[in-house]
Amino acid sequence: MQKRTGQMPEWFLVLRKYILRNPRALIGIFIIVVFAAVAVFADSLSSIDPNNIAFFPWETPSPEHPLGTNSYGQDIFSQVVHGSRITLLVGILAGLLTSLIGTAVGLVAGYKGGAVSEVLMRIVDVFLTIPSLAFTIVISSMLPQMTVTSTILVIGALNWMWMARSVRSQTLSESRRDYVDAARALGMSDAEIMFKEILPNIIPVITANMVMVITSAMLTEASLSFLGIGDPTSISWGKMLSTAFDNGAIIYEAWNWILPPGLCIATLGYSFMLIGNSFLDIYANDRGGAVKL
Amino acid sequence: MKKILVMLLALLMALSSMGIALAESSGGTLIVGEYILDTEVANMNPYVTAGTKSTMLRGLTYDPLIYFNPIDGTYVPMLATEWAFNDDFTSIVFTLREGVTWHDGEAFDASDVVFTFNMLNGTTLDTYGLWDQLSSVEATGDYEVTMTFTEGFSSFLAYCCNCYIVPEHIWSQVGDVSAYLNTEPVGTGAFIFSRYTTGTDLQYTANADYWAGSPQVDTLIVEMYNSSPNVTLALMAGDVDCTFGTITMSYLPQLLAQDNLKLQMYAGLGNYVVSMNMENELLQDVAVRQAMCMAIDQASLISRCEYDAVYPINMAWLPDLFGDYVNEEANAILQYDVEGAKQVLEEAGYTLGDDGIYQKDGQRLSFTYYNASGAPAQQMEAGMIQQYLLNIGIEVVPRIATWAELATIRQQGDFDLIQLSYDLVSDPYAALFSFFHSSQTAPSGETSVGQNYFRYRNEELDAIIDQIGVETDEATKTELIYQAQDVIANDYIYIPMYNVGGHNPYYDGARVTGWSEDYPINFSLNLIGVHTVE
Amino acid sequence: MDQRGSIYVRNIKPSYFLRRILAALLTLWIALTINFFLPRMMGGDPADFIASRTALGSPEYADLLREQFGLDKGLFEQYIAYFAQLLQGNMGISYSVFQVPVSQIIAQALPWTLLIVLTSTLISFAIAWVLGMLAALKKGGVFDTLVVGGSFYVQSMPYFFVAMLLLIWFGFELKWFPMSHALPSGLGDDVPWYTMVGYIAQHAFLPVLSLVVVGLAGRMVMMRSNILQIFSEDYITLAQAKGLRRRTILRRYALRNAMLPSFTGLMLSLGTAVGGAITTEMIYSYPGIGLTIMNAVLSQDYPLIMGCFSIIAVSIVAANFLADLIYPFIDPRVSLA
Repeated sequence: MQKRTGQMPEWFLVLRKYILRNPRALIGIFIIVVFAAVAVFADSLSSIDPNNIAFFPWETPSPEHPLGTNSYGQDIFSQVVHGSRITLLVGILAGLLTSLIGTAVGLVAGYKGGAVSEVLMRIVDVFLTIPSLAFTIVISSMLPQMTVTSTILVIGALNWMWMARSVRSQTLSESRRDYVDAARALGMSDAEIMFKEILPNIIPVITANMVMVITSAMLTEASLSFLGIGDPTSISWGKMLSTAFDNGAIIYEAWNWILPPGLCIATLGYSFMLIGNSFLDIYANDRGGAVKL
Repeated sequence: MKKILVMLLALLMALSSMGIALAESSGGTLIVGEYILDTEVANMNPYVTAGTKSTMLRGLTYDPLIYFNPIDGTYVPMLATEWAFNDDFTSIVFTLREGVTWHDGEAFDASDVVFTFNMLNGTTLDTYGLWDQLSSVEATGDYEVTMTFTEGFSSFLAYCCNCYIVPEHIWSQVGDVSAYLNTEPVGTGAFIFSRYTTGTDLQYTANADYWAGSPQVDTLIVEMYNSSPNVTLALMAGDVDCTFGTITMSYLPQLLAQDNLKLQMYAGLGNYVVSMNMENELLQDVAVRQAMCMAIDQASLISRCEYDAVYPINMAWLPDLFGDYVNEEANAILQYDVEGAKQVLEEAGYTLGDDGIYQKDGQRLSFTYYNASGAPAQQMEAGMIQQYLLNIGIEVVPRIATWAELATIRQQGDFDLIQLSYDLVSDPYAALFSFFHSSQTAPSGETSVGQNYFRYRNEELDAIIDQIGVETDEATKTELIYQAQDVIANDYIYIPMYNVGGHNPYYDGARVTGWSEDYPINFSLNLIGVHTVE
Repeated sequence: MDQRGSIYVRNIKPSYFLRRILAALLTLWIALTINFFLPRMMGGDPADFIASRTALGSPEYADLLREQFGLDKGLFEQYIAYFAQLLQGNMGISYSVFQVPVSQIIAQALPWTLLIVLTSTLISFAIAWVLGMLAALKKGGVFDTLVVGGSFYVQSMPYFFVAMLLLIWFGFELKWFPMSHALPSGLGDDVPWYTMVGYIAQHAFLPVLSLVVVGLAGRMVMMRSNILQIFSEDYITLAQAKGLRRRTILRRYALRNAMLPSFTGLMLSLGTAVGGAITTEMIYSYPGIGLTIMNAVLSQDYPLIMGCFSIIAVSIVAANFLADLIYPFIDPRVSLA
């Protein structure tokens, strides 16, 4: 990682290795960009208000309603399109929050060791003893109101433990490498070593973790909505599935209602996973073996 | 991999087919599907009810003195064959049925009734606070019980329907009755409890000695489901013969298309409304309240969300089952009229702001709106109502809370608008008194005494209601009840939604038949006539 | 054999055990304390709620209930009482299932959850083990690409979505498996045990299948990277240099070492698994602990919420403790400082 080829700057080499010459990441990024575009241009893609109940219920797909209508007579296509906003927003922001906490805790615990590590990992252990979804449900019902922001905060604050463990163990093995000793010999401070030396080296691990937590944040949001604990005013894919199940989409065999939101979640999650895993593979190759999260 | 799966499948099917020889004896089995949780049935003490479902099941094993039939609004004699109040409603005499036996063979008589009511005194089992008004319950014969009240208690019968009579010879031995789990209930009811498999079912066998005649089926099974979609799905699949309680309304068109499936519908004692808090400054203006009520397209709401399987309620508060007491004129006061609603606001001095919301003196018509979490149907209804209000330029800020929190919020008056149902008792005086009398409320922030969660105070209405309570002449009483409903209707205290009564789907002629349309299908006098199709 | 020996032989001091035990107890205490305060921070009052459902909202009745629940006492007093009870194995009385001991409710629900969670974990673990190994052996091959790609896709599906699809297809349309419950209704007392096993298996099939489908993918990918990781270890490289074939190395050295980390991961993921079971149990009306928690939260049953969380906390702390003991054996780079 330290050596340079030709005149190209290091960031470009990293970019080339991890993204430009990485077809899996490129596919993943492409899918995400498509979904992001849908989210941004949702209003132009479907001019129908997703909450509008003006149509006939249980319509099958037609030019007017590409995915038909649901039991309340709402346009399903419009709901899928607008639902991408909430799912993406919650997934990405909650994922980032999780990563921030997870990385900080993991890095400090892994590098500092001793009492600091002991205390931090004890906190992680305590959080791990509580089933996260159940915990999230309790916290959600505690809040005066579930908004998109509180959903993000709750998910972000309760799911960082696995990431912290993973980053810690990676930091542990990194800090035994020569370059860390060298940095220490040069008289660099702990913070400098952690954030300037170790962090850049484990960025692929962090990124890989991050895309995983983004996926899991999206799934958690879906579960919360399914259990009826999400933001009541917004439409997300999880909420669509929940409404579909509760309103008998099964017996109406309304595949046009059940499949799109489910497959959208899966496809989006898949693209994040693709990116994360390809990063890990490349990182592992550099390190001469696989790295586990 | 595939081979293993197929083998496993075959094994599973073979194993389970060996167990087909389940209780399939002569009279047959009636299978009831219920959205009911272990938490609701684990304690079989008939006075510890967790919700309405468990109350319904109590009626299989236990009988009350009288039963309130919601289909025609009359009282049906059960363990009491006759009853008579004295002139000023300060005492009542029950004549009891003779020849009734408990499931264990012991004879039933007045001592059991006396024991049951006295047992409630001062314990958590007295959920209606009957002993606030009861002063004594005494046997005045082997089959006669006389109860006296501290003051006139004309609505006593309504509460009496929920008091199941328990056997003295068992319950007097159990110590603290409020802690008694009653895991093997013994009653006088049509069905004898036989088995409870957690999370799966409750089984009952026919009581051959039942005073109204032995049930024709041998066994009754209540299958437990943990959500209304699940129980409705089971009904669709024909796994169960009927359901007594909640179903998912959107399944109705498909359900009704099933062969032999019938839907029993009747108005009930539950009023679903959006309550307004009269202590909110903006809501104190009756014009605002009237406009809000006019903005709601109730017919659309009921057909979209409840598939027309509920009855509307209106501004007169009392639902249809109160029969002649319902003031139809007061009910007719409200018409859906968006333009009219806006006009009402404008006449009251409100002007439409740039943001599309009406305002007066810088105050925008914006209200918080509480609704239940984990209840998609209610959320959809809330969504529709909020849209309707927005249509006339009134802003709503939605909030959700668990049912538990909602109960507290409503009692504490911590809301502008709250969408929640009210359970009435089957007596017009009680149904008006506890909801609208100013003695039944408290300032916002304090727990309300009765169910006047609207924080509604009107001396004129208080006077009318007080009079209803002591009036003995039927015609005058009806006239007073009409007056009270006129006052309530003209004050627009709540946004009416619908009445939650019974909508019970059942198969008639598929596996079982013999249902009566005169009683709800969950009532024991109906169930005893049900038999399997030859 | 020497290489393996060098990984395994460790000199564990008693003080290490002691510290681990103390740490586990500390974790447990904090977790239980959080369990105590958490439900009390939820809005609403259980006494008011029960009163509103059964007693027309009478405040006197609510007061009576509050007294019976001990909620009229100070918070600290309640806290002490909670621990005192817990030490005696008593988790209190449920509020929503009035007077029924929490331990009894949990004892009825927990076995069902354990059944589907453990069975699905073991099955998915076994399948993941085989698939992960095959994928790792031919890293970058067609099989590897397909399996890894497919698992990512399935892993990104919500539990309840998969459960819903299986329910529609195998339960409602084909009627191969029951749509709900853990046992058939109308069971008598004299059902032979083999029939009972059949019933249980039949009813658990769809819930387990849905958990396997979603859980499989993650475990498989993990197994695959574990094996790849082992291949990169020095001793394997040495063995390869000696001319041993990859398959032989795998059988002789790598498998056990690759399994152990996923075993500890398995213990730690139990908490997550119970959470994942909530939606599955909802869809299949399966009477497990996930459903119990959900209903306890909705009906504000403090003792029941605390009971469920405590049981889970205790099991996870125990699993964690074991994992902590095993971990140093597996990763030679982590010392037992």
